[in-house]
Amino acid sequence: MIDANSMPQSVAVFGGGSEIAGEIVKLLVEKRCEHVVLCGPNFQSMEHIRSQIQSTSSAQVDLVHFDLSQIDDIEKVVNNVFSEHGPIDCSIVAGGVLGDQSSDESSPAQVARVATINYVGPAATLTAVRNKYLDQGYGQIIVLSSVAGERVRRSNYIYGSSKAALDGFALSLGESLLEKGIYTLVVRPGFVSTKMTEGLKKAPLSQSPAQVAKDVLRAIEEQKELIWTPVAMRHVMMVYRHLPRKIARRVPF
Amino acid sequence: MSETESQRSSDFSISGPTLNSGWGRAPKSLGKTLQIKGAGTREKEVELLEFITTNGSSNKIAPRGLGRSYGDSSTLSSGLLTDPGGWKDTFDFDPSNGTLRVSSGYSLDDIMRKLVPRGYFVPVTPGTRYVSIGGAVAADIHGKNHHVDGSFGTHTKELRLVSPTGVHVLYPSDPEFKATVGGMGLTGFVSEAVIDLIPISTSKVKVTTRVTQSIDDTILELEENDTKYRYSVAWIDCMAKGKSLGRSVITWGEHLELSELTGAGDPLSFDPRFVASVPDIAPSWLLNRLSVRAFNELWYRKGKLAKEVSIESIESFFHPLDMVGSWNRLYGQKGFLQYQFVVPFGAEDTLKEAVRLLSNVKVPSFLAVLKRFGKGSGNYIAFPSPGWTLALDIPTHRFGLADLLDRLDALIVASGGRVYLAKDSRVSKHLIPMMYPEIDSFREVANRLDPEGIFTTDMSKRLALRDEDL
Repeated sequence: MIDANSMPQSVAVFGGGSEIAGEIVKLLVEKRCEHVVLCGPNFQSMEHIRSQIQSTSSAQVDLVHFDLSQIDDIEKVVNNVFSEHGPIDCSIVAGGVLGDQSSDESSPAQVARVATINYVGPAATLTAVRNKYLDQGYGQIIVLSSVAGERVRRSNYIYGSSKAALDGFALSLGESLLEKGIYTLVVRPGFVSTKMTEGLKKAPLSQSPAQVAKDVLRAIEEQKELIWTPVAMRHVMMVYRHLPRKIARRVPF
Repeated sequence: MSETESQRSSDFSISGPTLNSGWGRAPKSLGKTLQIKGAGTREKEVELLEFITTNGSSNKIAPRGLGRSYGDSSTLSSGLLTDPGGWKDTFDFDPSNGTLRVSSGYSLDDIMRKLVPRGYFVPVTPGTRYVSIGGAVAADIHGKNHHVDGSFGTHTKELRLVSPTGVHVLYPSDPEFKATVGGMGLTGFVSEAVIDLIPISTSKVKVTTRVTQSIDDTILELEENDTKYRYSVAWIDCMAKGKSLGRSVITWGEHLELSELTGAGDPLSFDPRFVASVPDIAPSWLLNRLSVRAFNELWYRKGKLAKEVSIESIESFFHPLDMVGSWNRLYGQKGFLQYQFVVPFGAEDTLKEAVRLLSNVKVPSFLAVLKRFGKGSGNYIAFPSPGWTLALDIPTHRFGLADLLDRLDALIVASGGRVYLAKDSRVSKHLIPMMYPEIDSFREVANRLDPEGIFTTDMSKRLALRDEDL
């Protein structure tokens, strides 16, 4: 169950290998969370996160095979997670790929792959989770979006547009669930140093997954519906979003 | 499920789901409402038992009264909530011995409106009249007279309980009674109770007011003078700091005797009204540190100006907040919680430390209520036990609140205290066996009355109050 401070007792991560989600879970198990279900395609990275969680807590951590690109299986797997491992109080949708903008630009297959893993799969997952929450009568959702989706940029428009779609979907899904008592948080991190961004030049205001997780925990406790992390990114994006296109295209990141 | 669906038969109907919460409006969950039909309490008991026998395995049930418990003890996600309005058939007052046999859906307000004009008062009333008899039993509620008269269960002579194993008639010496009183609705559905009423000759209260400068002062005053009065409570200003930390307005009360009454009019008149109602648009920031500090200051000065002895009405002494309808909306959509604990006598240092920590927290908190409890009821998981109890409302969803309350819990458990389940919405389930050492006796009896765990609540699931697997 979820308590009056929004702290869940069980959490499922869709995109279970996500380092940011792993850090969020590590903070949740310090509070009321006792059961974690990591759902992802890569058992090696999930095993790694499991051992990290269990080094500091006695939480039970289950691993489930789940692939955001296998969109026909998503509903089945989500239903299975709820029936075999439920009740699930909190669902974190964290999966995604960055792709390689310059080489993917000419590949319809790669563009479709990025859009599927970053948007189509997560949107289907969120919809399956929504249905299960309405059945069980409560629940909370955390969606890892990106500032890249707030204003899509020339330098990473394949990734950015997929996050833009997910961001819009998640915010409005959250609106639709408000009157049902189901709480949704959309998180827009800036540049986060993870495996996904390894080798990329760090953008300004870059931070670690642990820093993002700290902001997310605070937002859950305060029951915010949308946050930027770091907080300053909100103001950066506010300016950037309103720049005329001619100027925006000259911004160097 | 998203559409309102309805299931009907001649004996019951199910409506909803609706979004439900306790008085604190956090947390919330979706649940349906179960209405049982029948010509009277006896017939409804049989119909409810029939419903449980036929549908219980797929329909869990949470007994819900008027929803005045603060947290998740009267909600059940994807389950059925009982409807107190349907349980108002029996109301038999016996003037020969001052007892009332009453259906569980009646509220203390109903009872007072019917019987105060006839010279009788309820044996125990909390800060609101809008609690059902079922809720009063389930939480074994207490009032300002606990140090003299004990809790609601102390004045309950008989209970009728519908559990999956049958319709039971329970008396105070029965283990099933001890599990049901204070049992948070988890042993079954209380359909009817027999309670003792107390005779009064006027509907007025003689109130003695004293203002104190500090927490030490408050503790001393209560220790010295509590026993002289039937009703006693201190309102602590939790936003005062430094030397003023713990400054309070103490009020003591006695039912006014007819011989003390001056002026004309019916000495037993009782007709409280709402003076205002809060609309559901109050923003969460309405209660901020400034506005609440100002309110507390006013309250304290009003106490200082008050005559030492004054005459008040029942409603203004016992239920001042009932005059404002839906006052819980003042805290906005995000809701609030009430933190209430008791620590044994001798743990005054813990009490002072708690007041200090709560005064330092960066959230606005209205006056906290401090009171000394008398002896416990012996019911397995009832809250009151001898010692100091402190209660205060705090807006939820403030950063740092969860950690602060966890720290307070640790202090309280270490000194042998506990938090009140009827107020809780956030305690750690691992502390429950330490706070309620007789929980195993409770579980054993609850499992006997309801082996499959059909009676459950969101709180029971959160805190594993029944067995883990139920």
